[in-house]
Amino acid sequence: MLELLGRIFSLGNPLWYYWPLIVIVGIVYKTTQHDEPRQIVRSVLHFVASVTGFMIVLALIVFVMSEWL
Amino acid sequence: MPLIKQDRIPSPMTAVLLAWLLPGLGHWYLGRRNKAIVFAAGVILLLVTGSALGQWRVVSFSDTILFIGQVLSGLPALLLAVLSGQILAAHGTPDVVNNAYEMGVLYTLVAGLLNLLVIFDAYMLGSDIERKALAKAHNKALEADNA
Repeated sequence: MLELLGRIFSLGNPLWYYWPLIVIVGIVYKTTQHDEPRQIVRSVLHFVASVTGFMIVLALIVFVMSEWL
Repeated sequence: MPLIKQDRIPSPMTAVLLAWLLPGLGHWYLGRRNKAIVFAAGVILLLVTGSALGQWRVVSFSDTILFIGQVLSGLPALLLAVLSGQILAAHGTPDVVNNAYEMGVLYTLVAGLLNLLVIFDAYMLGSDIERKALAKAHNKALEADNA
C-alpha cells in the first residue's frame, strides 16, 4: 500500500497531468448546468472528488491485480 | 456592450457559429457574459497548455482525425495549427515523445470536445430565448387584437 501511495504521489507520475484537466472539465461542464456561482463551485468540488475517488479505486484495483494475479 | 439589441431575437444558429469561432462568444451574444468568460478561459487555457506541453506541435493539419477533434475549439485551434506547421517546417517532429507530449495531445483534444459541449449549450440556450421571445410577441399581438 505504501509503495502504491509512493508511486501515486511521486512527481514523475503522469497522473499529475490529469488534475488540471479534471478541474477545467469540471468547471466548464458544471457551468453549462448551473447559473449560480455558489452552486457551480459546489458541483465542481463534487465532480472533482467523484472523478478522483473513481481513479483512486481503479488504481487500487489495478495494484491489487498486479500484486496477486 | 451586448452583441444583441433589446428588440432583436437572437438566433440559435448564430450563437452556434459564434460559439465555434471563439469559445464563449455564443454565450456572450446571448447575453450570458459571466458564463462566456468562464467558457473562453477554460477552453483556451486547456488548448494553450496542451500545445505548450506538446512543444507547440500537437495541433497539426497532418493528423486529420485528431485535428477534427481539436478544431472544434475554433479559431484558436486554427491559429495554433498554423503555428505548429511553421514550427514543424523549421524544426521537424520532436525527438522524444514523452508523457508531456502525449498529455498535450489529450489536453487539446479535450479542449475541442469541451467546446462542443459549450456549442450545444449555446444552441439550447438560444432556442430557449428565441422560443420565449416569440411566445411573448405572440401574446402581445393577441392582447392588441383583443383590445
